[in-house]
Amino acid sequence: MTTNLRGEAAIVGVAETDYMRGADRTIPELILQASMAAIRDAGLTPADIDGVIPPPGFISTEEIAANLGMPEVRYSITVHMGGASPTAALQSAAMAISTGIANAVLVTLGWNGYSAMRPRPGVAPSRRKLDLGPVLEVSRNFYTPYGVRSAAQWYSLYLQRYVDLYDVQPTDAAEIALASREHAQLNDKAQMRGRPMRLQEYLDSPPIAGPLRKLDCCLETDCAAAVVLTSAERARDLPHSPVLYLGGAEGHPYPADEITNRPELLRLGLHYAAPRAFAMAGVKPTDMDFLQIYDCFTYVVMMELEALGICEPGGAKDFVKGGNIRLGGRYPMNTHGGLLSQGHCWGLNHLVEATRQLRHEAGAAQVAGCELGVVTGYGDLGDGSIAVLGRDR
Amino acid sequence: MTAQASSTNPPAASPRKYVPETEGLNREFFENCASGTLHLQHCDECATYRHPPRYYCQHCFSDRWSWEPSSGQGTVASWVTSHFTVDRGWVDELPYTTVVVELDEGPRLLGAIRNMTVDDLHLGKPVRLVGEPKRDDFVFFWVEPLEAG
Repeated sequence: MTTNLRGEAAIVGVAETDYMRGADRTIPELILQASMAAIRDAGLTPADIDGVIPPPGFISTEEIAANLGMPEVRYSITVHMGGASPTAALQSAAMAISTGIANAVLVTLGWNGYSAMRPRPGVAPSRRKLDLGPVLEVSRNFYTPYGVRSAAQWYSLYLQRYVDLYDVQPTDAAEIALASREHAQLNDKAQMRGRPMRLQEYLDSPPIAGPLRKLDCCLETDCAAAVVLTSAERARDLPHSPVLYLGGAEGHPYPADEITNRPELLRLGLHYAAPRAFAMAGVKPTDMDFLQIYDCFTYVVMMELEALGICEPGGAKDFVKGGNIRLGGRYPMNTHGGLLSQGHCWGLNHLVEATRQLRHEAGAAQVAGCELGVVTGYGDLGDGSIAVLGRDR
Repeated sequence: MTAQASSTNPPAASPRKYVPETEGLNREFFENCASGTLHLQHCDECATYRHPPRYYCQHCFSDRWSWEPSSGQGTVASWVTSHFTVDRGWVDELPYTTVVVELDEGPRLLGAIRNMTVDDLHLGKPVRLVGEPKRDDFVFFWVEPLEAG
């Protein structure tokens, strides 16, 4: 029996739609198109896929299988961790593959994050809804009645504490927004390509909640993406250089469904998950050649960097400076532009980018000769996930 | 709920603020606070207070609890000021501040700021949580300074 998932499974196919503000297609169409493209990228057909991990809401495994043509699905599961879901799903996919329960697993997600999440004139809301299950009951009884109903407001309950404790300044967080925007200039699919940003523009952007300005927040986006995994052994016969799943984990703050009564307000899910993932992979955070960090909000990225152990608690504000997280620096971060400047696809776009980097197919954003990289996920009320990925040698 | 606004509501053109349909243990919590006096869930085994309501004690795993009255007194543990909201029931109140109170019994609850401004807040400031029953199964909480004026 396998006792460690290290190197058992590999990402063999990736795809993403455009990142749009106002899609002309429904959520199922976006998801199916990304899924079919990822399966083709893997050199497979839908009939080869026997494991499916759809997003929490919007579409079901059964619909995906019926529409694409997957006659025998042996394994399906849904991860309910908000934006941490896709990266956490890799753990499940690798388990299913390493045990032989499934041969090839599709992880997919798509949504109308721009068009449907809050009402806009002339836009008919989709009947395809996000399933907020894990956080709904506490938030609707104890947060929503006070007008605290968006992620920016929820997370500010600890981000404010974080910036006060470590004296984090807007100019510190700005570096994350500016680096993402700079990287987006290299990416044809980035929404913010052609719209470079200066520090003053960031500082002048309006306040949203707590320490968050508008330009600390990611982009509401209509999009979909997909990745396909199979065994490392089989991956070596497929068209692309395999990207090995070396380690990964999920973690939950405690309690996960409520923020204010946590004994440790600044301990996120990733604080629990990261040490397990690096131990599984047998590598250190400082071995990484690039970082794809879930960037729903700049200050959340800072907390995640510290949770990874790549810098000390309170050390993220110095870590991100001096070009360290920009292409050409020691730890290029969110080389596709991230949620902040490419688009919000729940971090599945981070997995797509990490795969392209490790295939050495990342174009102008390529981190030269990269061998190892890390992807994080973050979602709901601070859930965390991580995948340590490596180029096959 | 009807569109008829009471005197405590914003102008008639504004949508009503969200009032949850409560059920289960959360409904029990609100029903016990419906008199206007905050009641907290209290473990009958290890005598700790807890919030939000849970079916088992996180400390001793007991399923025996009672609802004990609280003075609502505590201190400011955190707050968030919202300058933007997706909530049409709150848009006319921007910017608004929501305060996390750490009650003397231990648990923390959210409430809306009243009789003070965000400039008056600091961590540890003595405050009181005051319940305003909206229905027999929901109570809205305000956070006020403990010392008048």
